[in-house]
Amino acid sequence: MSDFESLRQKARSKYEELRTGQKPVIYLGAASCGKAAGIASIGGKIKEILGELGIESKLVEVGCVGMCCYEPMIYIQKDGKAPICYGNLTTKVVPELIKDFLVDGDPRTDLALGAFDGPQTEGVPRLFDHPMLKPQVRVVLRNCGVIDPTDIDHYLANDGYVALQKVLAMTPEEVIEEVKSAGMRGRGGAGFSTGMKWEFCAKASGSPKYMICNADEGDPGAFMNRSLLEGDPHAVLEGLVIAAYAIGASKGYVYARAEYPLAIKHLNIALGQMREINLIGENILGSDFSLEVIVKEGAGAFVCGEETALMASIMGERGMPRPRPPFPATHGLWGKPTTINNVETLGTVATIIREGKDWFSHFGTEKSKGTKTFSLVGKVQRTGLIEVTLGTTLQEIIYEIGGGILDGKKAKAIQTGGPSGGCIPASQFDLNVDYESLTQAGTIMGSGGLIVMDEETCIVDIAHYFLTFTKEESCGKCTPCRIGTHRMLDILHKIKTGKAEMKDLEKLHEIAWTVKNGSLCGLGQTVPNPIYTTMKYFEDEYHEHVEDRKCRALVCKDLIRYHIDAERCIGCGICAGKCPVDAISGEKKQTHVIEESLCIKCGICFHSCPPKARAVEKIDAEVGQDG
Amino acid sequence: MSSKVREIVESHGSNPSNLIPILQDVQTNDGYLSENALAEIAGLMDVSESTIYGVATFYTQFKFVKPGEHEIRICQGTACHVRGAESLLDFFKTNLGIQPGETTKDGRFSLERVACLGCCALAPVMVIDGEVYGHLTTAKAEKILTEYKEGKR
Amino acid sequence: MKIDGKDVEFKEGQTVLEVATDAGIYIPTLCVHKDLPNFGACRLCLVKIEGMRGFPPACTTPAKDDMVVTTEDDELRSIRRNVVELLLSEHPNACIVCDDKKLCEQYRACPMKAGQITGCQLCPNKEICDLREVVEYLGIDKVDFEFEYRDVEVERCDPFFDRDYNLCILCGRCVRVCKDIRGMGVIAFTKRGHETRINTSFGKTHLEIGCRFCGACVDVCPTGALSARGTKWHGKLDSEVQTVCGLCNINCGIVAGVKWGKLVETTPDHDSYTNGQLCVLGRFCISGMVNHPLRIRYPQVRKDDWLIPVDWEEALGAVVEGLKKYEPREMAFIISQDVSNEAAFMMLQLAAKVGVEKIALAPSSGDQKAYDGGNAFGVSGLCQAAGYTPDELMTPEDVARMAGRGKIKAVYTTQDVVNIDDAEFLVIQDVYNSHSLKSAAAVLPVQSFMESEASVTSFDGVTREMKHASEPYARSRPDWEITRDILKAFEGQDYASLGDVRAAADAELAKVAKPDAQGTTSELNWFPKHIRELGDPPSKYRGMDLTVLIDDLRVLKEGRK
Repeated sequence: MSDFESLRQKARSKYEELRTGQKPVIYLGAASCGKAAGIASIGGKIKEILGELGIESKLVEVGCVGMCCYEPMIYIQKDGKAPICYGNLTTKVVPELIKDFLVDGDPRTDLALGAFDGPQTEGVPRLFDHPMLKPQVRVVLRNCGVIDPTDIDHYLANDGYVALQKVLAMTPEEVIEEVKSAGMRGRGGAGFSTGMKWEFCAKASGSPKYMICNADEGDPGAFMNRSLLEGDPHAVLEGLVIAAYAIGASKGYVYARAEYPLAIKHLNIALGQMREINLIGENILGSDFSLEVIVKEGAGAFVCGEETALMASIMGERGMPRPRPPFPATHGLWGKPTTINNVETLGTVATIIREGKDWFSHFGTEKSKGTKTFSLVGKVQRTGLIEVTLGTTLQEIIYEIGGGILDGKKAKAIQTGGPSGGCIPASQFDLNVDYESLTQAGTIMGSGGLIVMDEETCIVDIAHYFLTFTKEESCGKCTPCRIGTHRMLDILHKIKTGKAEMKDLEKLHEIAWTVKNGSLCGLGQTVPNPIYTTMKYFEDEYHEHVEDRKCRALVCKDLIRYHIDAERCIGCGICAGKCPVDAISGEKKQTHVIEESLCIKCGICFHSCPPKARAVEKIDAEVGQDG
Repeated sequence: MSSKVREIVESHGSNPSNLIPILQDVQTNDGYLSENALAEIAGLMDVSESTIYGVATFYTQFKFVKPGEHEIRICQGTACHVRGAESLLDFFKTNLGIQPGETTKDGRFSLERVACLGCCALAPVMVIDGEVYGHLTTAKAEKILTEYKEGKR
Repeated sequence: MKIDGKDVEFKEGQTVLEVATDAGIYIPTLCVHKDLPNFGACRLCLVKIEGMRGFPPACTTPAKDDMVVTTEDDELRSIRRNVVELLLSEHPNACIVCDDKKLCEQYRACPMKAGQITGCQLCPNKEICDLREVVEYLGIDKVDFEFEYRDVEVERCDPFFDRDYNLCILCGRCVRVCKDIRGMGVIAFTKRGHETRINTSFGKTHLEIGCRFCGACVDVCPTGALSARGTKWHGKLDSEVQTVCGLCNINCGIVAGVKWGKLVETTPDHDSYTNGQLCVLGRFCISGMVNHPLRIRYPQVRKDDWLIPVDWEEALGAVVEGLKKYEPREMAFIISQDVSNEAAFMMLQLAAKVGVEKIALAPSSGDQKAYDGGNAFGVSGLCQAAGYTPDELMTPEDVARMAGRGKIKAVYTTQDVVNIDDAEFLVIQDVYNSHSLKSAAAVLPVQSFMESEASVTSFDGVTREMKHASEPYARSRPDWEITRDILKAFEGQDYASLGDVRAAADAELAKVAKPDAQGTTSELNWFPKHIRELGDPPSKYRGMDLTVLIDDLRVLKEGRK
């Protein structure tokens, strides 16, 4: 048995022992989202309680299982049974739960979301039968939230680096062929065949070659890559090493967003562990193949997700894209052949190799194979990170996995593909999510952000939002994107403030066309997508803003006003106290009134009015106005 | 000449591709990038000062004025936006009397907009001194801010 | 490959734009400049190429076999029009779309009648406004946007040139030339998106940041954003003359711009061996030097302690008469290394005729760089050809010292020399009123290198011609002609024309080894690339401190400290 096999054996027994040992284990969902939800104080409380109760228990920090709406979340494993997952915990509930379960043996089925796979506990449903998880197929995310991402043994115990071992026995051509025929397409946005991309670079002359993992997940509203890197960094790094082997690279980079400190930390830990057991470095696992990998932190520029800008940034320059050709495959980093793959693409590669191309390609549609992760957010009941087979309908995603719209409101649209994507109206929710269907609908797959919008979302405001984003993130190099986005935003601002005329809409369309066709890089060329789709599907709303000076979602500040319903006002004075401009007057216990000329429409009164009264209303600016 | 800057440059090496990590470390050390620090880096790396400034100003991470004691960063991601990040930002702007990118006169708070923090499921989100706060409303934000003002956090 | 249905040949490595230009097909661009690396930013040169997605830019797309390119159709025209309109929505545009622009153009490089609010009044552009050319080509006569003036302050805090970034279109030519060609990186793109500006670190002045003021950025600017202050309002030039600079021995190619007979500006000559690059002196100082009031206007002769303007005949008569009073061994000639081959040759001829053996070269060669002295190689080569070994040549300091001890009594010099007052009979043949004048017996005003034809031999050993560009200043005459007349009076050989002198001088120089021996050819490999490695340009011309003549140069020198 080789050294590596014995390492794996050891890892397996260590993992087995953790999973089936008699000592209780408490897993903490400690990804960034869990941390934001307050897992640290929950964890602190747990330690305190365990100390008080004198219980010896192991605490393991795991990544995110994807059920973000249930954060903070812990799983408790007792008596070698499958861990049971508890969500929406508070420091108040936790002591009770620990005591009841670990001391009194009551698994508190009332609080449990479900149990992981393994020996089940009576009365607790299986976690993967949960409506949010049941329709999902977890290929990329199989380890996320399950294993300790900072312990390579956990990954090894779960078939980690089996694919790499397999690859090292294959020729690079065979590896490329396998990925190509599996039908794997880039998960970063454009959906180009991954195998073909590798092939171009493998065939390019020049040395050294570079392999880059693009972890600059910049789309607002998307966090798939963050979760994967935080929860299972080895999966991505294994893919990176495989890809480097296929193209003949000797140096690898992971270009990660600086906004993701935990992901960067986990990546660096993982790389250290890999180096120790020769999964990177010289003569990997005794083969002729050597590879060094380092993590490069971005510094806050969305455009650096664009390949040529990303490379400029790695080289220490301004992240300004350059025209292609020449392509990175032949002229990349320092002019050498370079391949850049997205995190999820690399996260999928190992599985394709391990399970085989046929296994992989039976998921998905004819042209879009496999599964895809999405971050499902916005006005939806259950927000989180999900993974479904390509070809799943939006309907299923929003209503089955997401549990429908928040607060029983009506759905308006879903935004896909980030700032480069577009909005699909609720009437088209039967659309299959695959590369071709989304493109046909005028948007793109993008990296996988799905933002659900309800009737309280103003479509013009959304277009304005995305344009604000891209205007700020435009690198400023080429004329159409630099000035065009600014001009489009101008017009959208006019629309939002009720100052636009119909001819402005035409102008908007014309500039959008110029920016789309004239811009240098992918960012500029897709800037108009949110405008195109919203104008196409929600023409009425645009017209309403322009012609009637009306925002039906009551979002555009200049088109609404706040008003206190005299009958409902209880005169508590909270709103008057909070108003930053002293626009609200009224005696205690008397009806309060907003002085419109002073009001800056900040909405604080609206949010601070006690739920029992709900006297502050947001209404159309023209309703009820004298004259 | 600060020996710290020299130390940082030497630890990375003066290859131009290390410029961004060097700037990041200098900022971590000083809180921002000062004119002097940039000039020093330029001298040590043999890259022109303006070129470095050009690189630094391209990335939103870098600051050129001393930040406040507490750094408030409001997420402007899509999910946060549809869940009211703009009024959250407005609240801070009026309450602190500063615009994003500025620091209050007493040097206690600085306000920033940030691109998506990736905590979309908890939208709207803000970060104060590295601590993430989710599911915010203006009322909740006010409570948190008051605690910072009173030195309770 | 095919462009617009026309079969065209191309060389490996050419871009589509280069191929099209060679084939006489115009594709508009703003950010392309032939000396600079391609950038692909302005998006005007977009074309259609069969088999390629979208609209690739001609300037960065490499030409390939069997490529089929369309450079013009309705779609391309709309993209270009819209892109230019977007530019014009921020670039003051009245002068571009004004009805009367044709009339204005006859008189001024830039039409000036539009109101300030449109900024056109403030446009100091050179005669060539690339933006205007593109507008004309596209036939844009109105801009469909509300104009948005950036309203940034014009930067006038540095010597030599002003920067009005209200006019900047961010083509990046200045940044590229400064960094990639001159190796400086004084300016850079800063910030990003719509906020992108060309700037220095923290907006420091160019002086503070160490700019060499070579002016390369000004020369590549396609609009009026960067403009040479001294020459911005002179309007349309009457004539332009290709010549070479005589301030150092690199002898960069320059184009002399002349208006009303006066030299008003010097710009780099792109067809010269220095590839269109100059230093601060060549770019910004020559016209100020040539027209400087310190120029000597008339021949003068000392009478009763006063220098009195006289005509040339009288002055030369006094010189010849004076020199004849001394023994050859009591005489010394000082030859400036800034004079032409013809002038130096004539001095040496005169020395030989009169029997003068004490020849000094000024400045002394010890402290100078290979390219200091406008004609150092030519002058020293001629001395060598005339039989003087470097050891036999004196320095001006030697001459002054010997004059002090009474060993030398008569001095004929072609530049200002320090402490020469002790010479009994001093003849100054110079361009500027200098210190030496106060003890001169005769003063002979000379034409500058912009005013007379002559030749110089540069540090690479190649002899280059200086042209007559502007009219001679007052009564000044060329060096060689003055010395020839003196030589004639000494009954030496009569050279009828400049051509005769040049032929004789060239024959002399042919005897001297090429500069390989001097070890300067290696420097040719880097010149004129990186101005950083070039060191400071010379500070004197014919002994005259240039900072006295050019105020901005003084500011630059002092600012450095």
